Amino acid sequence: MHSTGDKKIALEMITDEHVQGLMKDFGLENDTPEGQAEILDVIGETLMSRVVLEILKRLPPEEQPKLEKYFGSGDLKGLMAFLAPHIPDVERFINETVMNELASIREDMKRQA
Amino acid sequence: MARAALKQRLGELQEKLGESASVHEQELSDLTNRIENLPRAKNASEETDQIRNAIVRLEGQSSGSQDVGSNPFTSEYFEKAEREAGIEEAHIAIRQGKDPAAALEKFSATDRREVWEQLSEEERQNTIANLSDAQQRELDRVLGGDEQTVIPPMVKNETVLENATAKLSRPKTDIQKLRDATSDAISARFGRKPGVRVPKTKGSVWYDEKNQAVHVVGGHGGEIRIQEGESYNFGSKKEGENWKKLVSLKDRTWSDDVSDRDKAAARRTFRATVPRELATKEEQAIPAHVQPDEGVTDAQIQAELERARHRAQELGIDTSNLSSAKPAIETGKREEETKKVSNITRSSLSKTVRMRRLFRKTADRVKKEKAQPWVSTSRGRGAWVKEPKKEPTQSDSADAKKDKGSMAMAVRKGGVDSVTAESTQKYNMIARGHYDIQHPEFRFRIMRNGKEEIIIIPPGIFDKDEVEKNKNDKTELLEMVYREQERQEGLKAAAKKGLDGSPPPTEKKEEIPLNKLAYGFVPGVDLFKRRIANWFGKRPETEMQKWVDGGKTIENQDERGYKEGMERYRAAVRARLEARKRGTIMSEAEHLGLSKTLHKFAEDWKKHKWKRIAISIGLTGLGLVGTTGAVAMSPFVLGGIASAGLAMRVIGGSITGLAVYNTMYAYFDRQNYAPWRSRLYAGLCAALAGGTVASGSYLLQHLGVTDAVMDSLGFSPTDVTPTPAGEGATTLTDISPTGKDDAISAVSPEDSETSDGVSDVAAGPEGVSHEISYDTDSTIASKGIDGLIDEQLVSNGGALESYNLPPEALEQFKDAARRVFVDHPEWAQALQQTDVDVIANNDVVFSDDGTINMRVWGDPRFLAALENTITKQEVAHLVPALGGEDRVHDLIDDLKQRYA
Repeated sequence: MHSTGDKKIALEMITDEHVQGLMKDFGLENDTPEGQAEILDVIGETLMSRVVLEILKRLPPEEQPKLEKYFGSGDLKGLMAFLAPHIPDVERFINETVMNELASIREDMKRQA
Repeated sequence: MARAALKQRLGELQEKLGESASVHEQELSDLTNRIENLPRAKNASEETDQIRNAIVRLEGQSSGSQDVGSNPFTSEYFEKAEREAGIEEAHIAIRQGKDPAAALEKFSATDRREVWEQLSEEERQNTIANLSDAQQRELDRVLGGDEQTVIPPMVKNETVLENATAKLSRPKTDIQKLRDATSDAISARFGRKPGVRVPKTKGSVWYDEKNQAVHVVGGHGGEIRIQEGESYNFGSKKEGENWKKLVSLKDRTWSDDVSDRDKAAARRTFRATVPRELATKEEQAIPAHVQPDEGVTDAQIQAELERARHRAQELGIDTSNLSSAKPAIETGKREEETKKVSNITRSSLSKTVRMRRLFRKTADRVKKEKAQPWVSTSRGRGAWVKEPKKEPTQSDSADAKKDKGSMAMAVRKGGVDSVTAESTQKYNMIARGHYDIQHPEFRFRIMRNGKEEIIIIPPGIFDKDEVEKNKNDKTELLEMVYREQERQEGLKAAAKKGLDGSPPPTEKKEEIPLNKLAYGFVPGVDLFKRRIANWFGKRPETEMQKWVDGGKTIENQDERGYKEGMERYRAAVRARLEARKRGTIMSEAEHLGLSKTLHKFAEDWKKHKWKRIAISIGLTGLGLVGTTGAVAMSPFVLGGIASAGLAMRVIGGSITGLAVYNTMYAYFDRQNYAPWRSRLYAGLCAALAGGTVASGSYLLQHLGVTDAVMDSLGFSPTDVTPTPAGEGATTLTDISPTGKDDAISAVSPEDSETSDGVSDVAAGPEGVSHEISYDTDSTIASKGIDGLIDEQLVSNGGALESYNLPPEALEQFKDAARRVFVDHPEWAQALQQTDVDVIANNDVVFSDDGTINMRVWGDPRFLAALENTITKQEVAHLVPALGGEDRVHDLIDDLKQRYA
């Protein structure tokens, strides 16, 4: 379980400018809120898929299927306990994964534009 | 003047478009009609601006000089993005073992091989090895057939194929011989036989890039040239129609999207190429000079224009001043002159339109004027057939009596409740009619009181079948039109009355104008765009333009164009993201043998729609909404996103209004408000909420809808699992209070009736009763910002008190609120003393032109805060909802005086 202090640090990492920059990179800064939400939904799934994949990569093969039981289970504490032996500093790991994927998406979009 | 100038500009544009005018035929025709009807426009100034913008936009398209890199709305950009996404998708499909021919067939003939060869040699070999013989043959065909085979020759059984071909071949008729001869002739020119197969057809064509045309042997045996944007039916009588439109000659791409208009044009071209010996008598009777592409030359049109201008001068009519001609004709002479000028102006119509009319005229003559009082054609362009010009009188012909009889019958039939002496008179004046059933809206061109009018009935008012059924019953059809027209006029008058201070119109009577207003009404930038677009012509230098578009101009984007462009662009972005998700992440997972778990996650994601919405909102970092949304997420998601910091910040800064909008919409929707009203009110709330977290939360609370908001998010006090003591205090529970996955988007009225939270405000806006009267300054002085937050939002009847949220969620919320209040103390102060329950006071006035005037009462500090502290984007949400920049300044001045 993370502390409030950690969250504050995390909160500072993604600012309004990040989000606006992301929307701008996507060319959606002037889209409707509904339109932006639609894309953000896809981004959300993309980011989370990446997080799941990166976690899976770090789990021993026999442990990988166990991750599934935490999907939608409500057992956050159990999840963190499950991940802790395999991924030290889970929060930082997830944070970095998300940020890297976000940057990668952004570059990808820019390159293709 | 404006009309003359617009006509002139449109004429120039048509000249500029030249041959490609046919591509924009519908738009040009619409613009011509709109210019003709400018004097009758409800808001001529606005209509003028819109027409001008549309012309400028078309002009921009015709110049083809847009920079793809800087303007994402170019068609090249979309096509490129879609193509790349398509290629990636095809590769994935092939790698996943799906039929490669099916995956490749959607590409152009030249692209298929390129896409195929982008796969590695090993992948190609593996794919082929896993195909059946039939699939291999199909792949061979898709990749170029006989010329570019990918399958070893031994796979083919030439004898079998030849036998089959021989068996299927039919005796050659004269037409078949003609086809063969034409085919040989074309093949000789291009040095290849047969031509290139058109995807998903049995037809082949020859691409002639030098002359920018495609050649095909027509069903009649003649040679047909197809240019970009043109269509051709590759089907047969036996197998039915199979229309394809040549999208890009260079890329050899064809589209299935062929409109009836395209088909009609293709049929005309087809008929024009009928070999003389095979043409019907009727076709032979059509003089060659009216055939498309050979008829009226630009020079002829110019000469005719000159003659028309000359004739106008002879009549002493200033053609540049046509727009100022009064709609009401003052004298008979004036009427006569107007008619003549109208004829002159018609002669300046586009080459395409004139050619079509010439063609029709000749065709009509050939058909010996089989006049029908009402004509509708399958081509969507009914020929105009004139009735006798003489207006019927009491002693008129039997036909007129018959018409009157049918009118009377219509009246007797019932259902025609608005037939009056006046409408009978109107009916008698009708000289000709036109009904275009193919158009999305119904258009009726009528003559009334000696003047031509176009009545446009928006989609959704008339039932297409009913119109089709009545198309030959002029009486009934026109009565339908008149009834609708009168209804709309009545509604407009009623709406106007309301604005003039008389009792507000009833809900029913407001329906049409307000539906119109509410159409596309969304908070934030889109709304602002609409308003700005209206203002732009009048205030080109406004700062707000820069706020919205970052300095870019929007004059070339009318509302519809912008919206459509944005939708297409968003779809392209979505396609890319989806392709990336499947192509990069999933492929990697499959490579590592981890795809099963990842697929399960994807299923979980799709299954929990309400959670996804919560994430979308949670991603925004919306204090109240975001935090509770985050709590509502599955722990895994929370563990991923929240701890990664995204939960609080990804969306919030930029589109906080969305969450307010969504929640408020759910609330109003639950109150059984009409959809447009829910959108409107939610939009106003979102606009008022600006872009700050606590202001939105505060507003919601102040409006007394906190319970409903929480409920619509899936929370209600009775449903939330209480935090257990001890261990439970630090456990986040996956709360799905309603037990529904889509609790946010599908809130039923039944649910709301049982909700305690809603019942508090069930009386609607008038039922708002949460009056909060704090002495803010003393509260802040004595307790600080934290005390203020705690007192207002956490305890003392605050938003979160009754929800018994886990301590961590409370901390998250307080943290967000604290941040906003610290950053914007003036909001904390001003908002508390401002009565912004505009909904409760019904101080929202809707005008006919779509402007919303909203009266806001309150502390001038609130408005000063708007003026000085909120961001430009927040202003973009707020100002238009307040009625415009000037309106805001007026309000500020007014309020300053009031509170001075």
